Amino acid sequence: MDIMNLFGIFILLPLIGSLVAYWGKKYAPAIALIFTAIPGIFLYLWYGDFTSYTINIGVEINLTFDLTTWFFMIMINTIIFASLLFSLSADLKNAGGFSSLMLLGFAGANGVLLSRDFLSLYIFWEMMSWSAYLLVLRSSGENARRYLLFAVLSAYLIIMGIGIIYYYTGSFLYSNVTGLPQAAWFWVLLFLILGFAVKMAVVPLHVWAPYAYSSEQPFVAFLSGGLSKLGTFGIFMAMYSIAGLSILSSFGTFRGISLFGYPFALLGAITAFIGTILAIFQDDLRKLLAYSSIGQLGYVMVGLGLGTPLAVGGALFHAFNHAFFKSILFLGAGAVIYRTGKYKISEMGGLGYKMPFTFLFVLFAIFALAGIPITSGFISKWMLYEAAIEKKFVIIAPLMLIASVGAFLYSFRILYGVFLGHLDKPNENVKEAPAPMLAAMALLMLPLLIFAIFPGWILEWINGILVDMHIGTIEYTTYAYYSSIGGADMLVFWIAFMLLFMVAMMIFMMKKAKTVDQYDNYLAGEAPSYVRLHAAHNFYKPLRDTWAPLIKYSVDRAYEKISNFFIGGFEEIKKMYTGNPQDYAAYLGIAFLIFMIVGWWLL
Amino acid sequence: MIRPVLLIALPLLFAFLSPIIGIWSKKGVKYLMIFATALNAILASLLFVESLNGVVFDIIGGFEPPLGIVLMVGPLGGLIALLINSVAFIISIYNLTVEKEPIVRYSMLYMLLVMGSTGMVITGDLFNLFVFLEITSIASYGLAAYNKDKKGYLGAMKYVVIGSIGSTFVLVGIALIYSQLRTLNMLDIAMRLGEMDPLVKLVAFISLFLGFGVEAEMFPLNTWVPDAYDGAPHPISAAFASIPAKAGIFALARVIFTMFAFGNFLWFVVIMGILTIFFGEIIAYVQKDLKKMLAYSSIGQMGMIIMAFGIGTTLAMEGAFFQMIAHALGKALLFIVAGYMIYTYKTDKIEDLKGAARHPLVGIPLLIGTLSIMGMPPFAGFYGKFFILMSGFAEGYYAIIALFLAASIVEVAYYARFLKVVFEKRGNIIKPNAYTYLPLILLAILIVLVGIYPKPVLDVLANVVSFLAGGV
Repeated sequence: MDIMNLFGIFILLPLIGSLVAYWGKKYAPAIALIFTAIPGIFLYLWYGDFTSYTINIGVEINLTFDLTTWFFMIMINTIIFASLLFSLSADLKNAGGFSSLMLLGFAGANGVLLSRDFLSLYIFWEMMSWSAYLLVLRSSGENARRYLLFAVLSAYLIIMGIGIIYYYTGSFLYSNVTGLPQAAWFWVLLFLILGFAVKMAVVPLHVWAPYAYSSEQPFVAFLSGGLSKLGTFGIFMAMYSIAGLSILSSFGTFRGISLFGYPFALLGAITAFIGTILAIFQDDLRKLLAYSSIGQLGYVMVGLGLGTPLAVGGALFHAFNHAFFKSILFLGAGAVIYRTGKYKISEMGGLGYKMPFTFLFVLFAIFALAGIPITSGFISKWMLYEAAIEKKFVIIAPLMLIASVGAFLYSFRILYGVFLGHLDKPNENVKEAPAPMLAAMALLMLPLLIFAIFPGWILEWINGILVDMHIGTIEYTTYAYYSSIGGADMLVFWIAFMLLFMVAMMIFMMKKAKTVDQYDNYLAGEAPSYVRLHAAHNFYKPLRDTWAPLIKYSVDRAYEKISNFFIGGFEEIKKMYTGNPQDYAAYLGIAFLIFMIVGWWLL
Repeated sequence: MIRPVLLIALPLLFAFLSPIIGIWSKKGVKYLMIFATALNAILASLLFVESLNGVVFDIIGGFEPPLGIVLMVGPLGGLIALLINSVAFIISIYNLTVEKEPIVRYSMLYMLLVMGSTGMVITGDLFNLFVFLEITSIASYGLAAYNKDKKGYLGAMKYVVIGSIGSTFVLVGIALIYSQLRTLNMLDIAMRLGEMDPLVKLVAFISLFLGFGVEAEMFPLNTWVPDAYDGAPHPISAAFASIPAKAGIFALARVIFTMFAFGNFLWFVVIMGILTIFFGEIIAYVQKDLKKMLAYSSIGQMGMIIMAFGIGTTLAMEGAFFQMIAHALGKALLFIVAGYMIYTYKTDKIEDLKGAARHPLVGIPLLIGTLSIMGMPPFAGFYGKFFILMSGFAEGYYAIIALFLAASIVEVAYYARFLKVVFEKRGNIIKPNAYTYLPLILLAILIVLVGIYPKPVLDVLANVVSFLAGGV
């Protein structure tokens, strides 16, 4: 493997694929699938073959294939593979354009992950951003506009950080970033972290997410599952590779946590909280999942901010889990939307009887999301809780726990509103999702299940990453991890789970269920031709009433106010161009005078 | 061995040939225009290759410089001449869609515009530069009013007022220099600049700076831009953004770097640049007319180039020249798209253009052009913007760069708003005709090519080192 192979397989190949797939008509997703499978195979072959290359193309750039890159790549590669598999049967309009742009985004993402210098990082970051923009543009221009504004904001924040580094070092390489003064480090880290946090949709930079996540489902699965992890990767690299723990702790520490990281951890906890609360009250399935995604990535942000081995390990593990379970959820939602053509939870219901496999996969993903012990989602969340509790953070830990309860609430809303309850009459002819969709979801479910039984396998990689970055180590065995306040042993959990499951099964078997006709008590004997019996409308109304005073504040509206303020100002400035040539001639004269004064002064 | 004078003489010949051909065939004139610009583009590329080996001098009439007029083409001048002529050729294909009469005069003026702009780039004589500036301006006035409607007349009127004041400034500057140094040759002036009285030198510099600033769309001398662009025929709007503006800004660069090396004045140029960007982008945001929006956006882009001149390092100048290339290609493309939309859907209000870009032959070039103007990799616009940013950082202009980025976000905002409207769903999608989509595809391919393989351009731009040191 040399640099051309690395570049060729992970970046050039998807780019070629995107050119080919554009002309593929309805076979385009299948063609794209091949072009994502090949890098996947090479990821498998090249595991352990970690190398770094610096080349000079006028400026020095560096492409590195190490464990961190590999870890994030395998995530993104699997997600895009599943998304494209899903889109095989999703009857997308202009499938060629879709597949082509997905591959462009994939190439950009791989580039971001491989680059260890700011120039290539920025180029690939922008490439990934605009291809995602065009994908959002396919379904809604307004959503795309919001997405692009924030994507560009993110890129410009990043470039501010890059620029400050460039001023001090005159180089783009990560490895050359040394000897910056403390104040410069502060600004660099602030700009980089905020820039990458936009992609992770950390509050208050999250407002693009609910809109962008309302696009076509296979793409959203890739955006939320795959591309948002690049934000995680970026923050991780900025804090622990470019800066490193010693720089972070030079800002002062609080219970062993860097004072620079702590505010971001707090921001992450707030994000988890706000995202979850907002998710509870969404009736649009896509928006609910979007806010849930915001909330879940808040947890990751907490871990990255805290910076202990347990916290960062938990963050990486949770990012990994989130990639998979959120993709299943978006794809599951996509399958439901594909079959019913509806977005509102209150218009669905009872679909679990018609789409049992979809229901199964979504149920499993929800277990992972809510952190129920038989999935790997539990372990990563538990690691993050422990990391916060270990250091006795009395704001962060409770916020995370409340958010976790909230996650149960919105999970239940999906379960009940979409899959359980009574089947609505218009949905009676709904069929199970097509096989490729189910295959995509099944593929994504596997890691969640495997790493729930053998968390040690993934913790080995995570531990390797932590060692690479000089953060520390986590104690783990194949079935368990240990921390200073406990840890989790999955062997115990699984045995307990099996026992409890059998007990519950026996109780369930002993109780004889009585089947009641749905009309016998609801309608007092009357038999109207059609009535909606699914009670998902105005779900959680009492809860919403309780929260009403808080929910009325909205970051969205704050942004709108700011933008209106600016537009008002712009209108005022516009008046300078009066349209009267006499004024214009006067401007020329004034300019001449000002130039003269300045020039005379400078002389 | 190509004589640079051919680039001026041939379009002039064809320009005055066109009325004669016009008597015989109206259509022939249009094709003559394409032929002339194509020929010029080929000559320009040959000249460009030649200039890579060293500055090409062409002594006119056998009078040795500094007494006689001399044309001089360095690598950068050759590059810009090539850029101007190839974009002129591409736009002349789009000229075939012009239906209004009198087409003969139109093509004459168009060729004069190309000739004047090329002359501004390749001349080595200050007074000659003024003559070409006048030819360019007067051709532009005529073309701006070509539509013979209220918009066209008003735009041209404003252009005339501002443009002629600007030309006067240039003339004053030249007169001052001549009165002191008794020479008009640029290199000679640069060499003997020390002999000038400092105050006179300052006034001369400022006069030239402001005079060429009008053509280079510098704040606050760019007031003519929106109206003239808006009122002009569609191909001419595209030409304005890419042909005379580039010639003007190249002349400005020569004034700043080749002739006067006012090191301590540069920070003020940065301020003027950022003001130009700011006013351009902000006012573009509140525009409702498509072509006006693009015109103000053009001001913003030119501001970036002026700012890069002010930063004045090698990297900044590379960025500036790259930005010239990217902007000439990108803005020409966008104006052609705008022309297609306005012509096809009979409205120039952005909000009424719903779904106007749904046809892929328009939509894909439009996206490429917009992304390039926004500065997204891997399109041509990325390098210019990135180099300017990095050079600004390297010089420590943090606050200026932050403002620049803020203005860029505004720019992205209005382009995103525009794209939102034109990609909405629409029932009847009208296919553009070949004269519209051919130039679009050509420009889009150029943008992508320059973007993904910038090495040849960057190699040429390495010559900015000698340019900055007072060379050609």
